[in-house]
Amino acid sequence: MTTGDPLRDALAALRRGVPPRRDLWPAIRAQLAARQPQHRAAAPAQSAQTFAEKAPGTARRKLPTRRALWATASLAAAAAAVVLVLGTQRTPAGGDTDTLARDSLADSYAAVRADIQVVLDNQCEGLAASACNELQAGLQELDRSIAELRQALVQAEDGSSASQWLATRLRRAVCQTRGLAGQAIRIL
Amino acid sequence: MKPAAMPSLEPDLRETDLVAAASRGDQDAFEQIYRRHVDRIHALCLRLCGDPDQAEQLVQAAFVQAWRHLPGFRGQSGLGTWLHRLAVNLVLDWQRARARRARRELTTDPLAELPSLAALGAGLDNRDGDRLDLERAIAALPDGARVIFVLHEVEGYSVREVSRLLRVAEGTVKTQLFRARRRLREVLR
Repeated sequence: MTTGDPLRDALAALRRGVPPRRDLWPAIRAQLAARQPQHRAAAPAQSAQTFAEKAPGTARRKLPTRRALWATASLAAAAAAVVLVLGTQRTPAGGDTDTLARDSLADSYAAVRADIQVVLDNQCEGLAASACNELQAGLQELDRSIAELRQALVQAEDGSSASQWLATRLRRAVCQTRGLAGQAIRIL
Repeated sequence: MKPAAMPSLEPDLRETDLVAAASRGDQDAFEQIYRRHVDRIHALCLRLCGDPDQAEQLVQAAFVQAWRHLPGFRGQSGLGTWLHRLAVNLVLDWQRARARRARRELTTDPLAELPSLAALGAGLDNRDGDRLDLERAIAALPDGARVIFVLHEVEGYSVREVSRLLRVAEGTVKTQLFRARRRLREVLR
């Protein structure tokens, strides 16, 4: 049965699954040995048990709340630290002489942020909607702060002490975020 | 096309059992999960990135990441949905990284980024001409429009969800959708 719209008809005919041209499993399996599943601090069997039990118990309702509070606090702390840095150094000061290093830092931040996002995306379904929104808002605040810091760095004069100071702060902010991300991933 | 000697699926095994076993480090159980979901995840990656070689790399990365994070999967959604979301995030992250690289390298030839239609055809079954036309036309869309179109029209995400995933305004999503549909209708006419 057609709708009369060629695009709609073609979309309806698209296959949901397209097999890869070759079997990808051997390549995947080779990578699994080096990357064991990341068990949580609790007993490894917990996830399977939780998975099987659809009805949430009291303990399960409390756990996401604690995690959400912790993660929110962590993200907020990271964001606050970066905002504080920006707040105390608003003058368009010195410059960054090492663009590559700056871009490398940006990539590091993007990678850390992507890790946090994956964890949040995978865990948000177990959190209250408000907690999830707070976490996403915290991440966006962090993005804005890092972007502002980078912008200040770009506008700064090359070789100035302010430029070096900004670069140091950016490195610390990224390192701090990386540390928090590691803790969040372990706890979540 | 799948290789001839493929381990058979065991339909009797419940997905919850497979997840539990794989979470404990059972690679055979994880292989069953892989076999059940790989076609769907591959289709997603292929349509989102428009490059068969890259799509296969992304599929591998998605399943390796799924293996690492499987103990965190608690079953509030289906495993397929969880894998799907993980793969979407992975592809979007890859595209952002590629865009950053392109900006740094100041690519002067915008067509250099477009996927080869012949290459895309190599990743698809050519039994249905119209369907292949659409697959190729989707792959030839600009990156931004293609991702938005695939997520909304093929994968069923709402405009708001696409907007959140891509961190762009809903108006931008609607505009890109309009342009993508118009272009695809021209191709299919």
